Amino acid sequence: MSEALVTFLASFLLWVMFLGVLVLWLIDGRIKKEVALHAIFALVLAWVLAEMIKNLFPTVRPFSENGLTPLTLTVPIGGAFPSGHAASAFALATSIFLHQKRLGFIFLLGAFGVGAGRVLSNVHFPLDIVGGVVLGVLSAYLVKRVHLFGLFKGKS
Amino acid sequence: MAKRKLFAPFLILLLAAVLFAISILVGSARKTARTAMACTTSDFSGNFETTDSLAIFEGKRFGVPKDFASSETEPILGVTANGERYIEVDLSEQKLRAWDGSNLFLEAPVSSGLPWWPTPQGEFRIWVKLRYTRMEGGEGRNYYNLPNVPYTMYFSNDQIPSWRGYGLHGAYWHNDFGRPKSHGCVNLPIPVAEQLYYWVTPSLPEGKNSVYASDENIGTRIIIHE
Repeated sequence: MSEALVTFLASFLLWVMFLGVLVLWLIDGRIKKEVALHAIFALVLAWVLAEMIKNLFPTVRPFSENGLTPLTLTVPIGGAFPSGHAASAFALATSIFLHQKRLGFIFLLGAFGVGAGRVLSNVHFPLDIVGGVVLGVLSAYLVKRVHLFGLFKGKS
Repeated sequence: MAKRKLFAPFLILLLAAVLFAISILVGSARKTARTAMACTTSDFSGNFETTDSLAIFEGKRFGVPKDFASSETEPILGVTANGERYIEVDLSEQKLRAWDGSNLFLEAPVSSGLPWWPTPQGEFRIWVKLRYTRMEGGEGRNYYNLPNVPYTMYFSNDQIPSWRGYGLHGAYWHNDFGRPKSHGCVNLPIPVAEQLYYWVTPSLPEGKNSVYASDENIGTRIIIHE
């Protein structure tokens, strides 16, 4: 059971958060279009940055160093630092937090869950998560600062 | 209005519940996969366990020998450079040969994996060496829990990653060498395992019971074939 929880946190919670944003935007309306799009932009930016760093400076994942079983849905290949999941989750959560404090707080809790899950499932070292958090928070601030929604709107 | 307010959280919770159910399925699938895995361990200290001396294998419980450390042998120093040392395992002959270049260092009968738990073939490198470790796995009748397995040398390559848990190690629970017997690992008579353990790299630092391979302390090559 605890193993299932780790798998859920590590592999599925990010999707729950992402789809949660869509539901709260499109169906519920609790999240405005601007906030939702900022959050999704921030997520994509953080993910891409994390992938770039991982590919340019590959590092070893815990399970290939200590022989423990990776508890994620799929066995991740490629570098470890920084965690793309943590970066994405924190980008999404921070982005919402910057616009809507209370809802953002719930998403931040989820993001911590994702980070913990990635460590407990033996696919990331704690330092990889810290890197992901920094990347995610930076992406969220950047997207808000540049106000990508405005640019997007101006074009169309 | 209140209904509308609750709809989205309900939907999200439903989604989470479905994905959690999938996590449980993934977990049980992994458990099945793990029983097909070789001699995995979670103890990488390499130290002798004194607390539990009961072993379980093929449904039988028996005591574990207190200590196999017959003689703490000195590492045997080869004449040729270490890069030329390699281990060959012949699965059809159930024999292991340790080569020092073209010189045969030792030859011994082994027990590799049974047909339904085959030992993987290919070229591997040792990634960790453990003086003692506990191996646990299998299910039901095939459940095994073996404390203080002596002289374990786990190997891996790109296709068979380290967490699959294949290795060479000494076996105190049977004396049937020369015939397949194991869950995927290569079982060795203890004196042979001991000799190999101090012959292969990564070389053991003074006073240590375990060592990981690294770029400076690279693991010995192992070739396993039919």
